[in-house]
Amino acid sequence: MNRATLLGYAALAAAIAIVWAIDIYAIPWTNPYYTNIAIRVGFNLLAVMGLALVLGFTGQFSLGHAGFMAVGAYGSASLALYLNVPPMVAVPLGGLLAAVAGLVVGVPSLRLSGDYLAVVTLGFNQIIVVLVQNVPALGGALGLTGVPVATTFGITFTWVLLGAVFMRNLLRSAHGRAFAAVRDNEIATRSLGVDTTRVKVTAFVVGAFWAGIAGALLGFYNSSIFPKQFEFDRSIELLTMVVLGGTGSLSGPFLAAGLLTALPEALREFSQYRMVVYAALLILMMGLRPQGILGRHELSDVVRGMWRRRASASDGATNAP
Amino acid sequence: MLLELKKTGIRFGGLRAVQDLDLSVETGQLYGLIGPNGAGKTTVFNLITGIYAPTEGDIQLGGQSIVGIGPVGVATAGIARTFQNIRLFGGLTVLENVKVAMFRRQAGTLFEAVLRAPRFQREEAEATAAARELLETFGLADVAGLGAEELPYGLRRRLEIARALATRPRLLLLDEPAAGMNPSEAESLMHLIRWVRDSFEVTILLIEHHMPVVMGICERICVLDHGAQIAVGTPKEIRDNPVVIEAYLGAEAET
Ligand SMILES: Nc1ncnc2c1ncn2[C@@H]1O[C@H](COP(=O)(O)OP(=O)(O)O)[C@@H](O)[C@H]1O
Ligand SMILES: [Mg+2]
Repeated sequence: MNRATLLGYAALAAAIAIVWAIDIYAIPWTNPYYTNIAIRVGFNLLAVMGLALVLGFTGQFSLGHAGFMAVGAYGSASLALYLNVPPMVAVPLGGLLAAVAGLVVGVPSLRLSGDYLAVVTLGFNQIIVVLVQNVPALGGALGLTGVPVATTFGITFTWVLLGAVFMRNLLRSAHGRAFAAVRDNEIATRSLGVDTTRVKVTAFVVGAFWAGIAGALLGFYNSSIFPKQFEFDRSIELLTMVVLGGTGSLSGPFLAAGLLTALPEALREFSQYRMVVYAALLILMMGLRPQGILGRHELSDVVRGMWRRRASASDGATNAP
Repeated sequence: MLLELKKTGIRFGGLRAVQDLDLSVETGQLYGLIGPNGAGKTTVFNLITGIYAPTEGDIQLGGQSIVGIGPVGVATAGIARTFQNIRLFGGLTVLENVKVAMFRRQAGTLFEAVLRAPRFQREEAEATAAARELLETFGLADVAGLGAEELPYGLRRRLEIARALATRPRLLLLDEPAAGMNPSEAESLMHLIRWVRDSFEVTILLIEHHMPVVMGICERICVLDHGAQIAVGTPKEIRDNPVVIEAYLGAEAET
């Protein structure tokens, strides 16, 4: 293992330690209202990460991301309720269940090109919601209650860090290049011997996994889950975050997820107009900055760019007569 | 015989875009495919590379049929290509474009990539080194870090050839590599192509409009018109063939 890798692992360990330090020393003194917002931002970071991979980096139009959250939420909660699986174990299992659902939905629809995926994922989202509404063991329309409470700030952001590093490393690898190649030109990608269906399914399954983790954590946070939480408008909300943040960026959608989760809280009284505001934001963005806030860039690129600009600006100043 | 098309044809509805085509390319040959616009040349490439399935006849590589194995199968069997309308990965750098062509040979799993496991590190370093070497030989080393879309036109064509070679093909198909270039650029590209054939020991089938250039470097030429072969032979035989002159003059008169 080389130096850079060891440093990377050390940085991740340090970041997780900081999260737990905050959890232990700061959260007890923080207004629970703000802690609650922070944790829900965390869920959206996890969910949006998967969609950023599928839509932003691989160019596949998925409209049912909330459906995978539902699979993770109901799957892990059921494991805990009916089989006494500890939440610590049930959360990753919920992610895996969502990944399996991703495989089942992805394999047939990603073989075909174009808009099939949009239609199939939309249908999948609806089917999952109707399914849980009609299965008494899953609580029906009234929801599944009595789920053990286990999700904390520390647990949520440990998962967020693991997810972010997972994504970053995946994107900076041969697999990451294959995702972008499929997005930019599928025919050329195939002509290089890359099985594009496999690449797309991989992205889709990974995306579903992280949506499943988000859903599972949500269930163990609220202690109850309702079909309504995973309806189509939730998928659109996640889609908005990716498009707004920048397709082909990870930190862009993170930024957008943070903003769009925290802002409605600030504008509580307008909450019933949330979907209207999203639509307006999307339209505004299409006009002003169609590539999204960060486009295909990451926050780190932007910061580096600002440094460079400042450096060259001061060069200019010294060179001035 | 490396590549053989046997009575190959394809119909698009009523249009017979390619018909009854016999084509034999020997190992190591630099073979030219010419013909007026719309003659069916690109369609022949799409048939060979499995983008279209022939409605008649057979296509063989090294004596084995490659019909029905699809574009990925064809690429895996050892055929690489460039496109008439350049198809680079715009969101990737020049270096990354070439590295995509090495994906197939990299065995590292997704988990090894995520965990930055030793095999991932090794394969990544190997791919980078090999891609850099290739870019070096194509005069693209200085722009390796640029986005592919930032490249000037002529360099894009070069990059597409380099990327195709990165798959280590037995047969390389080039679709109008000199399109949009002036005569002297086209000339220097043709020298590059001949050099590629010699140093990479790859067989090349080439579509080209610039007649003087094709005549200059190809050892054998097939002329298509309206989807059918109207002549095949050495450049000299083609140049003196009245049918070919007629097809080209006729096409010229139409436009
Ligand atoms: N997918 C397709 N569907 C219908 N017609 C096609 C298709 N591809 C090519 N053709 C037709 O086949 C003929 C040959 O085209 P092409 O192979 O591109 O010519 P060339 O490369 O020699 O200029 C043209 O008439 C073109 O319109
Ligand atoms: Mg053509």
